[in-house]
Amino acid sequence: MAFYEVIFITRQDLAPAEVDALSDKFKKIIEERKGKLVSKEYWGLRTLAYKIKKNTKGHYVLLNIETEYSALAEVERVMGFDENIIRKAIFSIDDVNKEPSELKVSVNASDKNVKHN
Amino acid sequence: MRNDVKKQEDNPMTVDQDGFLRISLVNQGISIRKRRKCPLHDLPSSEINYKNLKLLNKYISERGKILPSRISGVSLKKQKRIAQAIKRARNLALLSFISKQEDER
Repeated sequence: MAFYEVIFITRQDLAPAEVDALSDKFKKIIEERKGKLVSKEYWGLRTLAYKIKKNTKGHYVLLNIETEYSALAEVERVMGFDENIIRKAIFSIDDVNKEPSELKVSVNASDKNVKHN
Repeated sequence: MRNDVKKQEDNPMTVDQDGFLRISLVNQGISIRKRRKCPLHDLPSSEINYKNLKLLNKYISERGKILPSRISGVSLKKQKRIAQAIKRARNLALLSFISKQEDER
């Protein structure tokens, strides 16, 4: 088992609940294959540095995962099909950083305290 | 001429443009150059990642280019991590590939 960082950006006009549904979907895929979702971060609706598929903004979600690579490959494959996801990246990491990153806004996209800029 | 020598005595150590420490030996007209310490020496490597935008913004030019270590004085090891982190951040639209200059003709 190894640690991975999965980060994906969704379309700007997606509702927060839909963003949560997406990350739940990936969580399920991982857990079905005996992996573990260690932590999750939602970075809010951020302004993109450049346009991606006509989007100027996007919801950023970061998933810290401990799993075999096979489960991750399935996640990547499913992400490729999803039209709501405009960008994705997977990085292997030595260990999960316990402290939340500075970009973190909340855990779930549908939290009421999240400020959408 | 004498005044010049006195000035050097007041401040024998100066940092020149390339980030080298210049120590002038008074009355001999020679100067030695000593390498300055890496500015990220005390920062753990794990802190240099694509999420640390505050740090990465210090190491890109106005145009959005990666600043060479010749200018910033960062060690080779850290410079490689910075370069990789900036490239990852660019792919995720956290940093721009280029930012256009406003007064371009």
